[in-house]
Amino acid sequence: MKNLSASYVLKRLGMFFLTVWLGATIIFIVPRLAPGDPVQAMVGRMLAEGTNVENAQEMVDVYRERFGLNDSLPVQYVKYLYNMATFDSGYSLAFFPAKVDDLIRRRLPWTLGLLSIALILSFIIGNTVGALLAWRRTPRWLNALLPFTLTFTSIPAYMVGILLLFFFAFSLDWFPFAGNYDKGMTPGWNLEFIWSVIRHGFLPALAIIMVSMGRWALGMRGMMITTDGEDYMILADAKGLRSGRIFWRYGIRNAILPQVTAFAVALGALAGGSVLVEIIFTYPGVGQLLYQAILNSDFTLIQGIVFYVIVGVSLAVLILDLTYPLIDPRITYHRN
Amino acid sequence: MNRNDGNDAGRQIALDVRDLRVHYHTPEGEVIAVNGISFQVMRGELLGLVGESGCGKTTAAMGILRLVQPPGRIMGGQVILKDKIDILALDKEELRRIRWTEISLIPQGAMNSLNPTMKVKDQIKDVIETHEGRQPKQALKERILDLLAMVGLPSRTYDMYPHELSGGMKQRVCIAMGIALDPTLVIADEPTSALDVIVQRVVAQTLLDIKNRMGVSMIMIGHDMGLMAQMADRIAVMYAGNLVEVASTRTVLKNPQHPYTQLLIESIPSIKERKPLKLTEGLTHDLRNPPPGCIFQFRCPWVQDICRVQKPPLKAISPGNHVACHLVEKEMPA
Amino acid sequence: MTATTAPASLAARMTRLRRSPWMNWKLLLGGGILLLMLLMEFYGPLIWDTEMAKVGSAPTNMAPVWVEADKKLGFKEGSPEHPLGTESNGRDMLALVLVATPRSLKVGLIAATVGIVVGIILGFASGFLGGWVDTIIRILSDSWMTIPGLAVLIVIASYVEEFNINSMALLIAIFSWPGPTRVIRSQVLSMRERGYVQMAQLSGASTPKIMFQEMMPNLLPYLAATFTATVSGAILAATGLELLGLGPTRIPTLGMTISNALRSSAILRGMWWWWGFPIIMLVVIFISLFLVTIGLDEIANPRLRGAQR
Repeated sequence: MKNLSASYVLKRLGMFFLTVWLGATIIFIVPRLAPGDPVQAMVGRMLAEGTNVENAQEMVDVYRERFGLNDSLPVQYVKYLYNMATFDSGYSLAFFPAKVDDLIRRRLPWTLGLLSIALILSFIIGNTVGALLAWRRTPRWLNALLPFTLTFTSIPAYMVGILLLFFFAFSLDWFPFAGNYDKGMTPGWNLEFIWSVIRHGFLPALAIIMVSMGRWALGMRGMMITTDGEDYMILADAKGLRSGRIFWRYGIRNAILPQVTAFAVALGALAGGSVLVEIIFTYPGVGQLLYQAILNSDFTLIQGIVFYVIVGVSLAVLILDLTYPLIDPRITYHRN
Repeated sequence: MNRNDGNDAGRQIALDVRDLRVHYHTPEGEVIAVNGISFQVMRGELLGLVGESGCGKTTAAMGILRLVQPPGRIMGGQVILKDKIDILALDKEELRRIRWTEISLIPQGAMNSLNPTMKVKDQIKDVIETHEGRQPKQALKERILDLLAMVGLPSRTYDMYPHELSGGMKQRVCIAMGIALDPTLVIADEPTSALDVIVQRVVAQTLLDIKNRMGVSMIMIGHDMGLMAQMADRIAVMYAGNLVEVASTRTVLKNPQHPYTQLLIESIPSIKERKPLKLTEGLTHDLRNPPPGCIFQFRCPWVQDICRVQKPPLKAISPGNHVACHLVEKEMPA
Repeated sequence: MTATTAPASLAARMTRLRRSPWMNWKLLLGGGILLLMLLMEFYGPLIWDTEMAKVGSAPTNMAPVWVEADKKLGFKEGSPEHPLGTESNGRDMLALVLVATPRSLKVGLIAATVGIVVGIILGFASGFLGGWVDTIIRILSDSWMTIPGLAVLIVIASYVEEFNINSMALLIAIFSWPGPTRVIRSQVLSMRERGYVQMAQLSGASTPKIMFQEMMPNLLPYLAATFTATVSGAILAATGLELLGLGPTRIPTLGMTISNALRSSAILRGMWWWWGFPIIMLVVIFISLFLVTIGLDEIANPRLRGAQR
């Protein structure tokens, strides 16, 4: 990686740790702002909502000790940071004695699978459509897509999810309602299982794609219009290059750069949106787990999941930041 | 210095422009940017195209290349290359094929004309391979290195990105690119305007060397009369979209015929003496609505009644010298 | 050129008004719809009995007036008394929508206003003062922006006993400030180098005067576009929280209605009007905000205006 300068990498790593630390601190401080003992409050609320809490006192004691609630605040903070850094988020309140990390780990592949496919597809499709919408020689029918994609940009993903669920799962019965694969199936690398996974994951992924795609298309269209006016495009034309080559190597190759930057910024919002989508579709991923945790007032689980989400998003941004200089040769030489 | 005095007879014509017209369709009206200009460029000669800002020289060049951007449109005329090909009549694919192979462009402002995400070698390789097909790697590399050497660039430029080069270097890359396919005609649009004086000299010298060595014809657009004096064989003077005079460089500088040319030459600052500025304001008429008659009537110190009514045609008053003025038939008042 | 009689100058003024960049149809249409929705709070009770938005004010599970009953799925047929149907808690949908829509809009507006004010303060400070102030603000806003806002809001919201519109708006504002700060900062930075600012400084104008007289007017379209975009994001966050059941429970909001609908399996029961009408209202809100944003974008950046390809 001869292009990357040491200061650039260090700066990016610094941002990563800063973001994670900032997020973790916010999560730490806020519950402590509420009067009284968080653990008592949690359990009290669970009891009030009628949840059956066995071993309530036992749990409270374990927690007091575990989270050192008997210690002073700064000590608690340090212990908290240490726990988070070693990926030890403790026990789940509702599913005691299950550990938070285990619960998350089981669900993680499903969420990651759904998200990465949806993100990659929406980025590719969205940007391609956007580029074509700006190109002069695009056929008419493609141009008619513009208002369509624009509409979906402004709607949150879960709403599209509800609509999709209603039309395609309920009314038309083309897709299953919930879950990630048919009940009673054993997971395995066979065609039947894979097909079942695809069927179940199709609508949730589609919801995310439809919404994100519009945003990329709009942005890319704007960028292509700007790029089209650049001097090097005129010269490319004058050079007698084939239009396909101009489109890809001179147009898209330059217009995509700000889009990649925007992608990093959008990741945070996307994380939130996908949580809600999972809930709509009862898709057993991390988002669905979060919903259950909220319903159960399972504060440790909530905290653990949110922390992992923060880490995950920050990590993705870091990776993106580090790979960006590979596509934009101007970056590493830019002394800030 | 080699200089051709524009003797038409017995020499080959590289480019023949006939009645080229380009208009801009704006919401406020149709702007006539190029109002039917005609001229010829001979083989191996450098024709300087001069005029003040906004007179339409760049638009004319874009018209010749068929690169006019909307809202501009070519409204008519013929641009005949080597006596055989009418550029304006070609279809898209034929046009693409003669571009750069027959006629190339050194753009104004090379700063932004190079693709920021491509190395210099790739941008030159681009155009070679598009028109000549895939090339063996080693031969191609040597060919590109030769081109870079011809414009005086060090060989390490080969592997660099545009943002790593200075303005003058970028301009010279564009020159190297422009001659890569040995075209018949090169149009250089103000190739030195954005550069400082010393670099200007280097680039100008480079262009001249190339022209002499390769025998390529050139149209050089500019408004620096001093530079034109050094480089051009003949000069074409434009005013508000019309050609008012086309003559040998010596004639234009020592014995200009058209009133506008005279005022232009007189406004060139002299190192030796102080002179009052004769030309002070810009274009005085609305480009959407050119007046009937001579285009220069509002600023001509010798305007006559006939000038307001009848447009003077561009006529040859001697071999290689054309003027568009009613007064040239008679004696010019001193 | 033209005659200078009185009627002609009026016509000229009308033409200038029509041609003015502010007469952008997207801006006017979107803004008009939003205004209409905000005012629902006032004219709503005048056109319909909004008390029926309370629990138990109407027969349960009625379909909109044009839909037939379905015994199998368990909802009754509609009646003109409740034209948009009712839900299983006995709330009339039309009343609900009339009450909830302006609320949802207000949450966004309050959150975005706070965000913008903070953004102006920090953005100007960062852009003008430069140095370490700028560095700190820049790093802070960049990293704050990367944190997935909804996730953290979920944590915070789950500890709060009960929300009202204002407290929820303030909570969301916590994550609304980095965006405007960045935009304003970059605008201030680019404007600082422009000629007119330097002229003002040379003529000895004081800093606040420069800020308000020279910079603000040029900043306005960007500010407005950022504002509406922030409102959009805030409403998104608000409905997201409500969907998870973390929003205000005592007063009806659009997100909360959808949440109730989902928890009562409204989709499976085919009671589409329960979640359908709130969604329609939200969609209209978002589209209107979007129209306003791109309308303002076009005003700020004339090059986008004629880009018909």
